[in-house]
Amino acid sequence: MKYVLSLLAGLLAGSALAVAALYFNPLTRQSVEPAGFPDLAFKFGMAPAATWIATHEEKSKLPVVPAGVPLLWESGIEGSLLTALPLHDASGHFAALGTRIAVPSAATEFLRAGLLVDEYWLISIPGQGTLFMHAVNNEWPLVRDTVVRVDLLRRDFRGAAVYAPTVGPGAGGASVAGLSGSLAGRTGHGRARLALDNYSGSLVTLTGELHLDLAGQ
Amino acid sequence: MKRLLQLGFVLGLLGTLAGAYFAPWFEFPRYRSAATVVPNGGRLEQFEVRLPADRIGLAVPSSSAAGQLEHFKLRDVEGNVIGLAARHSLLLADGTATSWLLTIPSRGTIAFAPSTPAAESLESLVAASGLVAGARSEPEISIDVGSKASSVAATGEFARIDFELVETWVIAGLEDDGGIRGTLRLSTVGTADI
Repeated sequence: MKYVLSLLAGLLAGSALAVAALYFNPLTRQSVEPAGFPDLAFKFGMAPAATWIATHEEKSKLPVVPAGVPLLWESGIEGSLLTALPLHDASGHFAALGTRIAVPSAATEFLRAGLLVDEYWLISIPGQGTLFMHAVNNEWPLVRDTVVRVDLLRRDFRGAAVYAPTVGPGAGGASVAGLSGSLAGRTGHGRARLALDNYSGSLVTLTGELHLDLAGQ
Repeated sequence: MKRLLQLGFVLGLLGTLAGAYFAPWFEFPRYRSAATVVPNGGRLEQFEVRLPADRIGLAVPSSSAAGQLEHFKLRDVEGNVIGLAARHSLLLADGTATSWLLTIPSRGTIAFAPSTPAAESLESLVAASGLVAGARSEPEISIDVGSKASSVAATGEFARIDFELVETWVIAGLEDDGGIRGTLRLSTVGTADI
């Protein structure tokens, strides 16, 4: 019996050390910082008042908007998140209509990459045209500071934080392609920045910025 | 006993790290593609949206009459919900440009752009058919909206394939609020970009 207990104690200690190493792992915090002066910059919020539609399978820490909107519970889309929201310019004026579909990535692993999410944006700018953006975002730093630290470890929220989650799909960050209007045929790169003011079980204070650089302007 | 403690420690450490690296954290069921080969080359695959059940929501900005956003759950022809679709209609100087985003988590994403903006919107085509809110249509009315859209960007297994998209609204009637009851068929023809 004491041999079994000894083996179990070793297993637990080894696992605990590995979990701690994964929690503090610097390799899963890499990101592409937004450029200083992008061609296009949009701001958005995740609060119910700042979104037209937000739906998921209700396990997410984001609100469902509006009440009664169909949830994404089917196995083929489980874990996905769909948001339709207004995008604002730097001065806070309405600038574009956005749809954001976020899908957990099969490339997720916690040794080198982190919690990867494929994020697809369709952004329509009135009078100009529509853009598509594909970003691979590492949401692990955000999830670690909120769900893991506050919800699971019962520690206090460490305070307002800013995240630069974009890690791909290319070295320059997200890929951007113009679809219609004067934006048709243009390509470029994008980065995201997220800011969280407070956390108490919900990400309603989450705000974000998209910085897009387009070639051929 | 000390050896067992050390062995357990190493096994626990390496096992947890291996799990963090190799475990399939997210996997979506991959339903069989019901695709057929078209005579002049290419691969035809049809997706469906059953209305009103698959309509997630319509967003129309209050500060701008420039466009609207519609969002749907996307089904394969066997009725399985396999993805999500967004349809952006944007009023431009030369007409209404309708762009589509089809995301199938187990396969990838395609973004479609109209080859030319449409002179008439879906709403005006439905109005021209004579249907009014709350009315049924027998037989169903079939409306192709705009010209073929072409893929501009694609990811996953759709990357390196050029697609064309035709959206066909098969309308069985209108809801009391004017929403369409019927089926939206999204027909894609893909040609490998070799």
